Amino acid sequence: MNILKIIVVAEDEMFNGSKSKYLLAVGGIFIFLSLVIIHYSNSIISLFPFQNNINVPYYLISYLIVLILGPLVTLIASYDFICNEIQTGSIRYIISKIDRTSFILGKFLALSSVFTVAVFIIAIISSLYNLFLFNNAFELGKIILFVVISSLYLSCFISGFLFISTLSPESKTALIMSGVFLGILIFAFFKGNGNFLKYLTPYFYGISNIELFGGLTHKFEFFELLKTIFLIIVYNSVFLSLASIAIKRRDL
Amino acid sequence: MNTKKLLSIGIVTGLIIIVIFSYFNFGFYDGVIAAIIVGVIVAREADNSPIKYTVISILTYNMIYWTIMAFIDQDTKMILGYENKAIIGLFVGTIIIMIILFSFIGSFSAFVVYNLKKSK
Repeated sequence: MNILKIIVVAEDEMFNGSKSKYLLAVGGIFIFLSLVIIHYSNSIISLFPFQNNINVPYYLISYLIVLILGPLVTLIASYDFICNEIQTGSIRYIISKIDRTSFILGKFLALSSVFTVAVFIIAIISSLYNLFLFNNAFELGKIILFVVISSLYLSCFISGFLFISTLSPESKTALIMSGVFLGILIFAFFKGNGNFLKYLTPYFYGISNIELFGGLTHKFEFFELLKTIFLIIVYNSVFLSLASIAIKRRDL
Repeated sequence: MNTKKLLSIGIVTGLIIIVIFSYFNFGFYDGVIAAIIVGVIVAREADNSPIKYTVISILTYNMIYWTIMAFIDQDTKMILGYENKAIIGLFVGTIIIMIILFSFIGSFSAFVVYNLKKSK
């Protein structure tokens, strides 16, 4: 494993690779969908008999978009990120110069970077709406917190899908098994309330930080945030190690 | 290994595990753990398409288990003998959805084990 090689793979994947345009397009679609949902979330107010001067919780809405829409967008972006290269044989040119673990980590870094930028733009959009519609102050701390938590949450899914993509012999299998994996995660999240199954799902890590963006900051505990970030890092490490083991055992 | 042997191994293993676990009263987990173990065993033995064999095994042993339960278990008998048909429909529907989800979990474990085994 070499950090410079990881960065080279990630950079190549983002700007010059065969899937770079696809990846950027998926990131752009994610931002566009979020913008549309944030824009039309104003109409939520008309559903309630509140007074007119109520603030729309834009950060909370953006966070919910990331929680619900994010996993699907990461699935579309990353399901055939590795198996496509194995299928076409283009991986052989890379593997001869770069070790396999660096290759996996480079791919992970590329996907994570694209989604971090996407999440950052979504956070900026929500803060601009807050600023211009309600004259609220520009909260830099909240934006940083939003970007860090959301990108870590999405990286859990990315590592899982990369693992599946490494195992799959072809793109179709990768797509089906990624869908099955997402289904299992949703199922484990709904059934795992109050038992150990909840720790297997990134949804739990995402939901546990939702208080940060709902205006209920007095309930927020710093220790809980650190615990969640630690668990997300462990989750990512497990899946990336599995992906690394899987690609080391494969005939390329 | 041929299809007949593979399916019988999957079904018998699943039945044994689910019956043993039902004595310990794990509740929902017995189905999940049984599905994962059956997926692993079938994937280790299968030469090709382990997901298909795992799904068929899990569907079959769950069907056998719930049919036996409908004749033996008093609670299940009581629910199925209830006058209101909606409750029976809800009960049967829940079981079918759970079986499909167990087959999802089992097929995923079979997919992981088979592909790790195949490439050495």
